[in-house]
Amino acid sequence: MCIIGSSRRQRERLIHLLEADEATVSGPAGRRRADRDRMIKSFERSAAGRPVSERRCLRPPAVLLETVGYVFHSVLPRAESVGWPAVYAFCVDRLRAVRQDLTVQQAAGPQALAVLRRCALFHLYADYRSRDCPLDVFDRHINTRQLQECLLGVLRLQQAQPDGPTELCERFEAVHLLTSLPHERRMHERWLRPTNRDLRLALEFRNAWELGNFVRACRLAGEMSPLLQLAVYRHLAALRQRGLRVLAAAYGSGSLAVSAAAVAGWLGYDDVTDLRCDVTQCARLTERGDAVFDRKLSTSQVKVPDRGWLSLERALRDPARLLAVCQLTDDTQR
Amino acid sequence: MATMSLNAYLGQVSSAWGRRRGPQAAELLSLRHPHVMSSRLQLEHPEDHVQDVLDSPLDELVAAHLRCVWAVSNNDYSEAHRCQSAVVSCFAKVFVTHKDDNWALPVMNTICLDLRRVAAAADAERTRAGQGHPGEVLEKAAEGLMSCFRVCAGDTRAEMDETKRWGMLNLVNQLFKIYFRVNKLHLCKPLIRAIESLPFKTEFSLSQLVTYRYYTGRKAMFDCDYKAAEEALHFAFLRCHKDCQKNKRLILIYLIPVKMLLGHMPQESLLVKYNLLQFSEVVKAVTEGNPRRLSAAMAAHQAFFIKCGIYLILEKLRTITYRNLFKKVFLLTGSVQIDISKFQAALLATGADADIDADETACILANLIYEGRMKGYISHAHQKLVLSKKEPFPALSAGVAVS
Repeated sequence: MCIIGSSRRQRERLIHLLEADEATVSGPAGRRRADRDRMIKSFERSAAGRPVSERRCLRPPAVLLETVGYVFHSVLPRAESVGWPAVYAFCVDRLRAVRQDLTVQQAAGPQALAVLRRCALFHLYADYRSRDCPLDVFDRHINTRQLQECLLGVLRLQQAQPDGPTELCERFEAVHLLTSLPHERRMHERWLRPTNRDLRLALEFRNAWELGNFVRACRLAGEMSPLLQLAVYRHLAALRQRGLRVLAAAYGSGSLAVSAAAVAGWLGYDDVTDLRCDVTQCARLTERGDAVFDRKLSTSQVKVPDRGWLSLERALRDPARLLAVCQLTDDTQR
Repeated sequence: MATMSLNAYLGQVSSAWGRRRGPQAAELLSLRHPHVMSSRLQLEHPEDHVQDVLDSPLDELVAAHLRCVWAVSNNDYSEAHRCQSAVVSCFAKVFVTHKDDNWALPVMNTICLDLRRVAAAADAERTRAGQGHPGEVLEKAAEGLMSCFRVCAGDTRAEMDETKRWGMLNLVNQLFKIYFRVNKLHLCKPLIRAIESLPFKTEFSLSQLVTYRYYTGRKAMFDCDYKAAEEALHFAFLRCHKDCQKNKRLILIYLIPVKMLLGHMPQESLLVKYNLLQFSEVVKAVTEGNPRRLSAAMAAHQAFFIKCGIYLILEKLRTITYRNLFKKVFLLTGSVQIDISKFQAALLATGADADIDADETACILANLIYEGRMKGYISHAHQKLVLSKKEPFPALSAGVAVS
């Protein structure tokens, strides 16, 4: 996965923790010894007088697919031992190099498409996994931009496929739709009667989102597949923020209490405790823990943090199975 | 004109350019002028002939134009686009050297318009042949237009009569057309900022202002800023010349949904006058408060609505439809305290999804209260909506309280 550059990086002491052999992993960074089976070509910007990538260093799509597979099956699970920040930084860089190789050789075809889909999946997963990370470790804006680059590449290659849209193509259209909310406001005729379940759920979610129907939106989010849930996750906090303001306006009269469990159900909270924590921005809690909303707070700024999602936690318990859980193991032929 | 010789043509170009006659030079460099019909000007390699008569850099510009004329006559729009891009690029280099002078603005307007049209034709040609992705050539054309825009926008020191900034609005309108076609609306924002910062932004020609307000209105509509959209599209519609029926109809296609979202329904006579009866059933469904009729109306003309990009905007009318339906429930009930189950029954009876339950019904009611379309509150414990005794359903045209 990185034959030619490994000796140069060894000389320049640029071996990453996740590329070092077991004997030198825990040692100082400058003394790590490369494990050739773990080395992956790193990302390098083009510079004046230096080509983006020498021909002999360009990896063909089949090798890129293997590389990405290695990242998912062997690198992601190491977050348990070395920590997620190190794994994230490593994967972002190496996957960027993978996409660079695809771009330079203008690769198209099923393998290139499969590579880009996996890259997009990584950025979706990273968005969820890094929700509690500080800005110096994870910047959502940068991650989203890279995600959009991957998805646009996926859509472009999907359009060029000779056989027309497959089920997986439609699933990724659904992913693009959800990750582009609220900017993506296009409609296609073939979306009016979608046969693909994921696409149908994504379109219904968008409709519910546009109408402010947070009850339906949260229910639909709960029915989605793990791939789509990763795409929709980024909108849950905003949905809850608006939902709390709406509830404050509609239920904020006098001292009428609303059951916290009911509100938690409406806004898709897994844990009523989390809801009780967030709702205090526009309501007070009774002794029983129910919410008494204040209409005056319906126009105030409500800030809701990104919270863990039980459904996703269960589905993604084993990072090594991420591709299988998101049904991306058998897409190299289409 | 249609049999003009090369020498005569070059002589006219030289004269117009030397005497700084912008409109005349623009005609001679236009792909829509009769001179392009002359076979003696459709030249594959005109460089040598042109260099003998014209000086640099005008010779390069004219040679590219003549090659473009040749390419268009052969229906080779990809080559025509390459040549026209060279014309624009060459012109931009020349234009920036005209200090305190803007006589060549008509030339710029003409060649930029031709660049966009030729790029659109090249794009269509490549899409038919399955080459590249749609919009690729148009995006390249936008780069050419931006180079001219930078020349105009950078001319800040010249006097009002001589500044090249008078050419900015025309270019912005051309760029809008491209960005809307390739669906990259976010690229319009810096252009709008540049125009809005001009001290003489209201002094451009009315035709350009109407086009500008049409596109900024559409952009505001897609950004859900309906007040701004209404203001811009309303201006465009009123000030558009009464003989430009096609343009007025185009403006109305976007103005009608925006006005409806703000509570103003169009009259049937307006829809008949401008042949927009696709909206007729939608209007009736919303006014009646019938979600099923709205869905049917949307389905009946879905191709038209999707093609115009207003399908999702019209879906938002569902909120007003629900409001009108709930008002009927209130009038039928005759009481300000109404069970939520009655609203749920009304939704189910008029075509809502079969799985809509009390929670979702309450959510719809809550949103209407939040937006100011209904006045009252919901009692969760009693599962009732309690409406205000005074004006429980404010007029739709009163607007939305919050977004």
